Amino acid sequence: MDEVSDGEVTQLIEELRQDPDQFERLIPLMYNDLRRIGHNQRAAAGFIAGPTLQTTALVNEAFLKLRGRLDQGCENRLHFQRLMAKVMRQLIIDYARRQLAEKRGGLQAHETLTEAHHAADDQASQDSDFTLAVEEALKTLEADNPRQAEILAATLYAGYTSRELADILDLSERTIRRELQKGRAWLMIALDDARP
Amino acid sequence: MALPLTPRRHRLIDRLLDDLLDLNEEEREERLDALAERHPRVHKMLVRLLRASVAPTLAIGQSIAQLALMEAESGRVEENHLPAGTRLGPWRILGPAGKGGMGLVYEGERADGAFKMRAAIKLIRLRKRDLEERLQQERELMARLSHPGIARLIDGGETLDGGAYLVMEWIDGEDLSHAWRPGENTVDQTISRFFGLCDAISHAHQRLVIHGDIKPGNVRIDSDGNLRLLDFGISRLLQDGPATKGQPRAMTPGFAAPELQAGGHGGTTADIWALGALLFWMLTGQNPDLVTGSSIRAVTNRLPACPRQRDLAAILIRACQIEPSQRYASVGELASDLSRYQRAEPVSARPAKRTYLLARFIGRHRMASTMTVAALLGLASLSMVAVFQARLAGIERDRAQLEATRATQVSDFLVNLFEQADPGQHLGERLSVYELLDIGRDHAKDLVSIPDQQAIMLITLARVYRALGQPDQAVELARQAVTIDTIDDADWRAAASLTLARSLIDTHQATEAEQLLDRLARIAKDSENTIDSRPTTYPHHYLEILLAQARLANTTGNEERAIDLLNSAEALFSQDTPPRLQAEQQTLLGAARFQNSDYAMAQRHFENALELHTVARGARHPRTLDTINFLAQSLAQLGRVDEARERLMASLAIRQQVLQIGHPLIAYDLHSIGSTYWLERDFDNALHWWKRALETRQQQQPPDLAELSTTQNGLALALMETGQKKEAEAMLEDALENALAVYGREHLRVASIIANQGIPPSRRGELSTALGFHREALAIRRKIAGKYHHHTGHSKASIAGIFLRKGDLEEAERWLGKALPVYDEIFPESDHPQRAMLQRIERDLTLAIEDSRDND
Repeated sequence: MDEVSDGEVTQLIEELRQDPDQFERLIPLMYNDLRRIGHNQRAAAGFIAGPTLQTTALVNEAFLKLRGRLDQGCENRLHFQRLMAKVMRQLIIDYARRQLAEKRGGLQAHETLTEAHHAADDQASQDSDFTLAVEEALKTLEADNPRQAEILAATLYAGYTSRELADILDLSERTIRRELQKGRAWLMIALDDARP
Repeated sequence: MALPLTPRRHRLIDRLLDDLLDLNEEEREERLDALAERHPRVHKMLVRLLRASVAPTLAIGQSIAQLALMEAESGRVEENHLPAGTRLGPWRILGPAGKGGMGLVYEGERADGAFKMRAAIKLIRLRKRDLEERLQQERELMARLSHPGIARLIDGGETLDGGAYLVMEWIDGEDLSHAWRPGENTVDQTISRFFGLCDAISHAHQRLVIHGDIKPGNVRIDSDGNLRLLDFGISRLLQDGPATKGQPRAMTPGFAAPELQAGGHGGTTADIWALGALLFWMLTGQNPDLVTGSSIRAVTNRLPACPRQRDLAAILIRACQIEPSQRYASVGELASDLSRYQRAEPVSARPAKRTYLLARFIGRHRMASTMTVAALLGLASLSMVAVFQARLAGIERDRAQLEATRATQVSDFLVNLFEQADPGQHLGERLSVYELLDIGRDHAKDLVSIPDQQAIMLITLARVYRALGQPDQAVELARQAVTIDTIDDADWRAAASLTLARSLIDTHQATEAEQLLDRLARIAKDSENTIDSRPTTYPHHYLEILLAQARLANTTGNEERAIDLLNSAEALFSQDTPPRLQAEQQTLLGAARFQNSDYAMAQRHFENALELHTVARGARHPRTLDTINFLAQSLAQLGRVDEARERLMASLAIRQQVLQIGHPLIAYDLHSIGSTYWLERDFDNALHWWKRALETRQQQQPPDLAELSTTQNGLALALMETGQKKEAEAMLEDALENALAVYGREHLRVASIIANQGIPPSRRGELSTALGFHREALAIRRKIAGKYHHHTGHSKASIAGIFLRKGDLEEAERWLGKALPVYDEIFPESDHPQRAMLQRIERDLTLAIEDSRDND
């Protein structure tokens, strides 16, 4: 299994950002996928998994088309799914950082926001703070146990199910579930320790 | 991360955690105790990890998901803010108010001083030539709306850079997408708030205005918790006619009805879908797409803890049906069902099964919970016992308790049975159902010492087998059940006998079925005439008997009787008659008309039946699909072959998704598609599809000889037409053998095969042999179908054709004279495809007679 390099991720995001048309086309598709994340959390917590949406496949296809133009010709679907999980993670993390930067006196516009929007903003920065804390913990986990970290991140950010991950990483579903269980436990206590 | 761990230590602990998770609790404690002494730090860490590994981690996902959503939304917006003071037409920007799904939103005010008004101004990227005109139309539409729950579109126009701005009434408060946290409100509170939205949408729909983009971002919640809708009609403005494929439209995928997502247009039903989706999201915070196409059970599992979850799930599913026609017809209906849910009354979204109504009844009357479980298992015989119990409650207390015990026993039995199925196993599900049933059957047979329970179980299993298309097993079990006579309930025994009769019809045991049904009909009639005012457990029993009799009459080729019976059945219809039975009646009527060659009438009945079945059972139900098939056959006979094939292909596609490869119903569709090609004289395609049908039918064990014979017969004809004579004759032999085994000699299908056997010798010039086959077929046809049946006419025309080829013009003319009135009666249109053969013979005969005169 080819590893997904950071370079690839960066390049793809760059590509996405520079081509607003492609990005626009992709976002509604990703939107569904992203919404799935919360749901899969539930499933992972022991609820019965729901019907899988076809959107992952759609997003993959869109990414594939994009990739095709990069002329590197990587046609491996599984590799792409891994890549996609990382791209999603990066997009969300970037967003969280931007969000916090704006909050810290970035845009003048926020001065005139209504109170209601301050409240919404606060929630958003809480979410951002939290997400960045998760990212921090994931990075440490990654250093010690890259496989576990990747499985955990792919679940959290791309909403992949254990079954999908088993397929993507060529591991048994049982292994995936176990790694997730342990990974979550590590993450929880890391977050716990990081709390002021 | 604040973990003071080296990578090595981290990995070690991770491995130890792995081992611990493999152990049972006792062993785990032991191992931990051992560690505690020697490695207290490792022990401490492991204890924390173990605790964390079972803790719910919902919050992590939620925060990330929330950000993901915002990122997704932010990606669609160009980050160019308009400074305060910017003028847009008569409006002035005061400042940004947030980001919407399709653009930036500003707070603004009237700049020309005409009147004082605060407004929300949306900037959208939109280039449209006729924007002005459309805005004007939209403003006129919106002027009809006046509702506190609706923020109105006030104005709009073009910006200097070719974009557009829309001005809306300003509503204080926050968007639901930011302010709503599922779980902060109880289910009851959520629904009560939701009613406000229903009311607003209903107001708009009554004035023919559709929202088109209901979603959390378009709903504001004020400080009192009232919900109000923004962006009414905006999505319509942004629509570019039919959407270009692959281009995202200005809507939010998660909350757009499937027909909109597919690029189509949505009516009020698209709003109903979105309302259902929104309610689901408000209750769970989850992607509403999860509701569409899900089972009640799957949706129930997603709902927060609340009473009567399944009812609520059913309401959501009904609102979010894929097919717009299957959703609630109006917002009012959705709201009514929700308030019924709140009052713990039966909701319309759940089929009015007796079991279900009973469950609601019991639920409201706080009877033993085991009873509710029994009723909810949804099996008819169980509900019978329970209804019986409910009926006797208070009158015969001891008896009621006995029944309750019985119900509990039966439900325990069933629960045990179903517990043996591995719920985690998705593959091979069908198989496990059959295996499970076989286990159940064996258990039921062991229940000799408890005959009542045994009888109830046997009938239940018989029904399940029948529903699964295994009528032989159904007959066997039902037969055993009706011989047990300890159950002192005539109604129950009658219902059980009816199950037996139906299974007998399924297995072509006509005589026995007929006797049984006649007897049941007599009893039912008698009891109707006696003074008996107690509520009956089976209110439609007599109607069901009539329908079974009609089906029997149809299968034995006695259509006139079937039609009489079905007319009597229709006379019994009332408001309470379930659509299921009405659908059945129309289907049978269509079948009778069809067999009588009255295809126009048949088509009408099947159209009715299709509508009723779709209402009663949904678009993918096997009976609905059967009806599509019948309808297609009628259309084909009416010469509307393309329409017919389109319907059949649709039906086949669904069945191939739903059923196992090799399922008889797939074969049925394959065969019918072959028939449409046959009607168009496209023999190669007919051959292809019938071959597929035959292959599919041969996979069935044991094969259904009747169906096998039908396909073999068709295939033989196609083989003949494509020049494969030997194969054709062999195929006909097989077809005849199978048909004889099922029907005996005197049956129209047998006659058809015999008539077809006449074709190959006729083509070889062995005319006397051919004539023999045709005369034999005619004899059967005349006897069973009478003179005016197209099969009879067909035989006569074929015989005329053979005499013509023999050169016996006199006989040919005589037979043609017999055939013509039959055709004139049945196919009066001169260009009817069925007349083709007759017309050919007529023409050739005329020519031959003229030739012979010339020779004279």
